[in-house]
Amino acid sequence: MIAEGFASVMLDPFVILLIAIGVVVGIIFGSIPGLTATMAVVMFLPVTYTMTSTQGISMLVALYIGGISGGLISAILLNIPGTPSSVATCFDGRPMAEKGEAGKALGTGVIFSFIGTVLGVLILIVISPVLASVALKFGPFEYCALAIFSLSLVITLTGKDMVKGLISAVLGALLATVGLAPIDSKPRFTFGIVNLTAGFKLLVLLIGLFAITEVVKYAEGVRKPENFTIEGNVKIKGVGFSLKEFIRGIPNAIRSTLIGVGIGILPGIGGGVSCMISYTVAKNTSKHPEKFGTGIMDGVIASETANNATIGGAMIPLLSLGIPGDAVTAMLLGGLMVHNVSPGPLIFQKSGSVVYGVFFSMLIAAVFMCVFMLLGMRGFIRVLNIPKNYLLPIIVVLCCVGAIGDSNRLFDVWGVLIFGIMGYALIKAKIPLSPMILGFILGPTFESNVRKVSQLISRDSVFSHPIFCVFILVTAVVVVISLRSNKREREALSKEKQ
Amino acid sequence: MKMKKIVTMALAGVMALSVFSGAAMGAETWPEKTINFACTHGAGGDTDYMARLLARKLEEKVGQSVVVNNVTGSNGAICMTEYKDGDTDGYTFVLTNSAALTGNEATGLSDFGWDAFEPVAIYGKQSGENILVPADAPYNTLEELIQASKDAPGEINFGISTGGGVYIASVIMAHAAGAEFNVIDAGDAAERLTSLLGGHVDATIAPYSSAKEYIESGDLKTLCTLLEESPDLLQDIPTANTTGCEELVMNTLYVCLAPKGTDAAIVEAANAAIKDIVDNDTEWKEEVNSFCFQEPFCLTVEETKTELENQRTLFMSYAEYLQ
Amino acid sequence: MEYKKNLIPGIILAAFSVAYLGCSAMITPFTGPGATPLDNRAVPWLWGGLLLLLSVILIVRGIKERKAYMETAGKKIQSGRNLLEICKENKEVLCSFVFLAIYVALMEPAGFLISTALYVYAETVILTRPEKRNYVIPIIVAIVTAVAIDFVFVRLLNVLLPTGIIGF
Repeated sequence: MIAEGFASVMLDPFVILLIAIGVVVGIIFGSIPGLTATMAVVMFLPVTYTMTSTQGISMLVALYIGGISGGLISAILLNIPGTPSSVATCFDGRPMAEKGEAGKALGTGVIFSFIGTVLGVLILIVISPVLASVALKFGPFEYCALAIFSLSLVITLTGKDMVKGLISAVLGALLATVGLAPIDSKPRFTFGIVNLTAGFKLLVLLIGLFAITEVVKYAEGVRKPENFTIEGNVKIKGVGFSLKEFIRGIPNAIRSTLIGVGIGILPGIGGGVSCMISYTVAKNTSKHPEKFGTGIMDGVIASETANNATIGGAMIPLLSLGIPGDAVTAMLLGGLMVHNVSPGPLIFQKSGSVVYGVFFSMLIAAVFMCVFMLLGMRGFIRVLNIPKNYLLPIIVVLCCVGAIGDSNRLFDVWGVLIFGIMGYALIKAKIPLSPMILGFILGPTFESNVRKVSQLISRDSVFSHPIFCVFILVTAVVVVISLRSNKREREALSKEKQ
Repeated sequence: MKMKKIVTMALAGVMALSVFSGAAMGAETWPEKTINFACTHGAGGDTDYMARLLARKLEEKVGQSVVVNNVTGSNGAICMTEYKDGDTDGYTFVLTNSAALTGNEATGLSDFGWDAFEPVAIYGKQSGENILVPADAPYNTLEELIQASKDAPGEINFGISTGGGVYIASVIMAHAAGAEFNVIDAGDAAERLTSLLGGHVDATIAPYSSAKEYIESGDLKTLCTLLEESPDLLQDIPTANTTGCEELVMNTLYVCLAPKGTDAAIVEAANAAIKDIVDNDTEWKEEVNSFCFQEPFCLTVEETKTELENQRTLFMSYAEYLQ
Repeated sequence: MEYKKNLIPGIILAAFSVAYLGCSAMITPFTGPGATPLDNRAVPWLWGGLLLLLSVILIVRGIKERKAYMETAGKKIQSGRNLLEICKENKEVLCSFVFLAIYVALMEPAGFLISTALYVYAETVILTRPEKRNYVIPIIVAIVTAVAIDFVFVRLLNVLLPTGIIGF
């Protein structure tokens, strides 16, 4: 069956061509702020309905891999995450670009995206059934604890000013309560407006907070003389970094892969969270946490390895349980069902050759992604040479198109405007924006699971859930550690001032 | 003054143009331009798949392109609210399923029912929601399951997704058959299955097509289908209304609607085109056989209205427990 | 003046969280099967309460800093620059938001193509340094961008972008 799957991909030049097209389109969609991997898959899903199963699904996974990887380009070059999955790439990618190391940052992002994807897929191939049973163990108690744990990482993520970081996260969680309540679908904070019942979209929040504010920040400095531009004529040697730096990054990459796959397995969390968790873990375990955020390779490695490893992780419950973990895998599920490949425990027996075909397609897509992005790297950097006054308005337009295209309604563009204003006000108040994304994703996870727990608690004890207890313990430890390291950082800072 | 004149003339021109393009339409020549399908559910789901299948077949048949757009959110309520007063030129249709259409009204998610539209056709049946339990569970019929819940009130965790059709089914079981489940929200169909497999709930309801793999692998068993009649290709699954709860009937049907006020002649023409595809196209038959486990099924405009009204009456009689 | 970065956001956020809590109280609670005391209002209470607490911390911090500032600055607090001046100084920022708002508002009646061309033109001009402003090139860029994006997304990818009354 493995050979059959291998042959169905490798011996069909049309499949290879579709993968190549998928990767390129994915990278384009991923790299343009406002357009995401999800949108790319939405647009191509109907096209694949008429293809054979291997062709169609290969193309969709190629779009997925390209889309998640492409996000790093705009994160590093424009400081606007191209997809939610690359929010944490901005933290260090942008400062690197400002230091004149845009090439190095891009190279690091591409190579470690590749490593993350491949390791993620290998884990998927080797121990998918085992991991799938882990996902089954996750009930309301466990998700609740996981959400609390992830939210506690905000404390580390924000560093010096914990209060403002928490404000941002709570604001995010609070925005996510608009719309139909989880569990009972009662409208909340909709004020009778039908469009509000669907709530705000993550994409709309992301565009408003990161793309619009970037435009306005530029507008602020238009008349100021120090309005510097980043040098775009960077010479890149090879992939932009040395072998020694690569070897030093390996432990970080492995840890980030495990985090990425782990988050990917759990439905409903996704790359946006995995990159931030991986980043904070890398920072906490680093010997020099104070350098994070100033343009350090480790930060880019952690974020980019983890978000790509999430792809392999998300495929595990999709294939072996039929549970989609995020918007993209939900559509992949549809794509599989249309081709009579029903994900579930019998998928290897019934459609083994297709599944192995998908695995090979993913590996090929990873290679294509790596090659195309490395080849394109010198071209991408040219983006820095386009005058910002021409580039930024076009990005805003593309963001609006992405916001409308997400669910085909004009209402979402108003959301972009409102979140843009909000984001700008928060920047002025020195409140960090990225914790808001965490709060926005995890707030609803926390709410729906804590309410399910309240339905179960009459028959079930907390202590019969070891995973829950472990998570809560780990959360307590992490909070204490980060509070201490934040304090140290603050003290070091005040000493420097004196 | 001159400026004003030019503006007036330009406006008159624009208006004339739009009147002109509007006047040329009629039922005899329908369709003569691109048809738009607004699908109420996202890409990847069964509603979307059926809408796209219909779009592709209709395109072949009438020779005009048929474009599908997914306008998603709130179980289709967003799309239906937007399009019920949509363009009535006969080129705009809403593709949805009857559980969302009547269910949203019953749960109060929308404040209108099917009669806010001009129904065009019911063009297919879903594989049916099934009541599922682990394969080693002691009960083999719905009746036994309900009896077990009466013997131990609140001890059986029943996974639902509050607000949807599954939720309505649980309310019907509680009120019509006296079931005493501990009702737990377990999310959408895939999540409910996971909860059942992971032992977080003891029974749940999910579409047959999602649960098929687990039934075949011997992890789960189905007690009954909620359809009025067993699916055409799955005759061995009993129906809920004959095995323990007479009132429990939930027909999830795929529906095509037009905005209110669309010309009745165009609605008939569209129905005729759809009916011809469903009844006579061999590829359509193959697709619905493998995807829905049903034979092709299509109703005329009048039959569609009657069917939707029946479903509405049933759901609305439980509305007080739902809102 | 650093204290303002804490005091003002603190006050705004506190007001916002009070309003949010007020709205939370108006949510219709769910009483159907499966309802528990932890209903659809519980978590909004939690978030609203947390935000209120955090903003009060900010306000307290702001007041302390203000005190310290007043002591060092010798009780002389300059009356803030007036609002008009601030707006004038940041007219590009203000214009960017206003243009975006007009763009969004125009999109439905005027259609995507026309509103996009207008927006790109206006925003490009405002983002250019006054002494370097050029009014011709942005016209070309705006038209090319609008047509290209419209072509790719509407014609090729079938995204439902507003067409406006004229039909583009």
